[in-house]
Amino acid sequence: MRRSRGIQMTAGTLLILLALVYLFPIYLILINSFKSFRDIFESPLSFPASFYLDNYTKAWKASDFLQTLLNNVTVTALTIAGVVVFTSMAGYKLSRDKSKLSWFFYILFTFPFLIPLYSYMIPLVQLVKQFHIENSPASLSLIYVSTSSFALFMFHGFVKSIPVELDESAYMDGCSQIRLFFSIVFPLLKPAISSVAILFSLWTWNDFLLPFLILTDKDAFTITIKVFQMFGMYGSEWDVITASLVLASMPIVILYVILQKYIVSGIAAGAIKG
Amino acid sequence: MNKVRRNRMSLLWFIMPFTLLYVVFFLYPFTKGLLLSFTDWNGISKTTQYVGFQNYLELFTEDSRFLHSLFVTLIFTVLNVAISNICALVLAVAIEWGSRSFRNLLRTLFFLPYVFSLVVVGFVWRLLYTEVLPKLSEQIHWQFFNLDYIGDPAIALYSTIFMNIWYGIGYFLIIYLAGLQTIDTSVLEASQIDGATGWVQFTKIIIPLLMPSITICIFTSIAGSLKIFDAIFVLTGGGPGYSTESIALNIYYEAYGAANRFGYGMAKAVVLAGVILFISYFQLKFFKAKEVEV
Repeated sequence: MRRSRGIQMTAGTLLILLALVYLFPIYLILINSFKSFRDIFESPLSFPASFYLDNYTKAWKASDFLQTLLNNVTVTALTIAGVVVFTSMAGYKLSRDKSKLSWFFYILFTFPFLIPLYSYMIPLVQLVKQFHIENSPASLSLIYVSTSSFALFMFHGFVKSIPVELDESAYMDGCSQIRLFFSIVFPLLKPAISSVAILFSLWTWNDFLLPFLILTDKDAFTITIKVFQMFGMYGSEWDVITASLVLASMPIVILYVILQKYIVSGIAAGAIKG
Repeated sequence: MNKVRRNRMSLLWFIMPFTLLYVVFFLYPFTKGLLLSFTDWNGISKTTQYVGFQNYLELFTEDSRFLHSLFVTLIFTVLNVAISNICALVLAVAIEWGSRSFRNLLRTLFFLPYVFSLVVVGFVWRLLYTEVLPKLSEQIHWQFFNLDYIGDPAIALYSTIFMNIWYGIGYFLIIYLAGLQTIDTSVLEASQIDGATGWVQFTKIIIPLLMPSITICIFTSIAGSLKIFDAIFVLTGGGPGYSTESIALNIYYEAYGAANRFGYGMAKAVVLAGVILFISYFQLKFFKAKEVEV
């Protein structure tokens, strides 16, 4: 259905206005992060008279920003690598293999998708402490990979669009199956890989409960834990808090602005395939 | 080796890395928790007694705080699922058929909150509820804004729900927009020639054709609401009193609060997992039956 140009423009303008009102809370944090404590308290709504940067210096130091950022990047990168490699292998094979055994594993793997962390966090935390692997980015990543069934479903669905004849012909040539997978099938999974990588970086980057439960050393803290801990330290000192919220969100917002096209198509694809 | 055995071996090789992690970090702790929910384990004392179904009996008959958290989670889920999905669906239709030229811009803007961590979102709304809205009501003399949003037990839950809706709409919007783009516009044009009005088109054509997207969004939002933790933990911590304490928070406090009753906490966790599996199963059955094809 085509609406006339005039209606399109009016509706568009109204919707954009609505979107700006919708984003008002974010705008508010941004403007208040440039104000002194007194100004925030007296007039939280006004635009800052001058840009006061002390909040950022304080927040940067208090959050040990570079170290925290590095921790986040490490955890996220390891998680993405593990999720992409392990679930694509499993998803591919479970999709190709039509046996009962394969179906059994597929059903078994749906559970982490439905069962929340709270249902097994007590024994899990105990296990991590027994192995003495708390405070390590690698152990956080391994736990994220262990529950990444969502990625497995996406690969499972996507593999169906790749012709079976392709792996059969290569198999005839005597190629070992794992090598065949990585040299022929894996490159063809690119669209699914990018969706999975984007969604899991968003989720891993922002996750709270798991790092909160297993990270005890403040040098290992990720951004969300740091922000939460700073709130405990600074209470209602909104000047430092607002600046730290902006700092903590900056990397992921920049990433979103650059990759938004892929994020959107990743979510849409994930919903259809998942 | 015969073909069947060879295939079975290669299946195992391919799934081994994932399965290994799955068993160590998911299946083992989950099963252990299930077994421990029948004991009085507290994580410290050396002896752990088997107590049968006593934990389960206690949480349904004596633990009013747990029963209240079930109620809180129920209200949260119903309102969050209904309002988020209705808003996202209406918005998607308005964008797709009202102003397609701004579609990408609008989608980008409405999705922005979802990019933030829920911890950040919790603090953003804390500032809004405690500092900004009371100030705003002072300036424009509008009493409606002058509420004790997170301090009044009667409204704190609704404040957390509102925040969560704000956070999640963008995610559902993307899925609904993608769904709308798969609808063939000629179906709608044909119905218009037959004299169908906008409302009839919406309820009789768009909704049924959008059923796969609706299934996914409702499924995701129910699962998300039942396990809601971060947002409430940061905004209210479950308070004031227990007025916003969801099941997930209740389990957390049971395990890591003063009492350290791990076995009892696990019994609650098992109940929560059971409820989620039960609802997901019936919901998928119900919605799959409602999907139509053109």
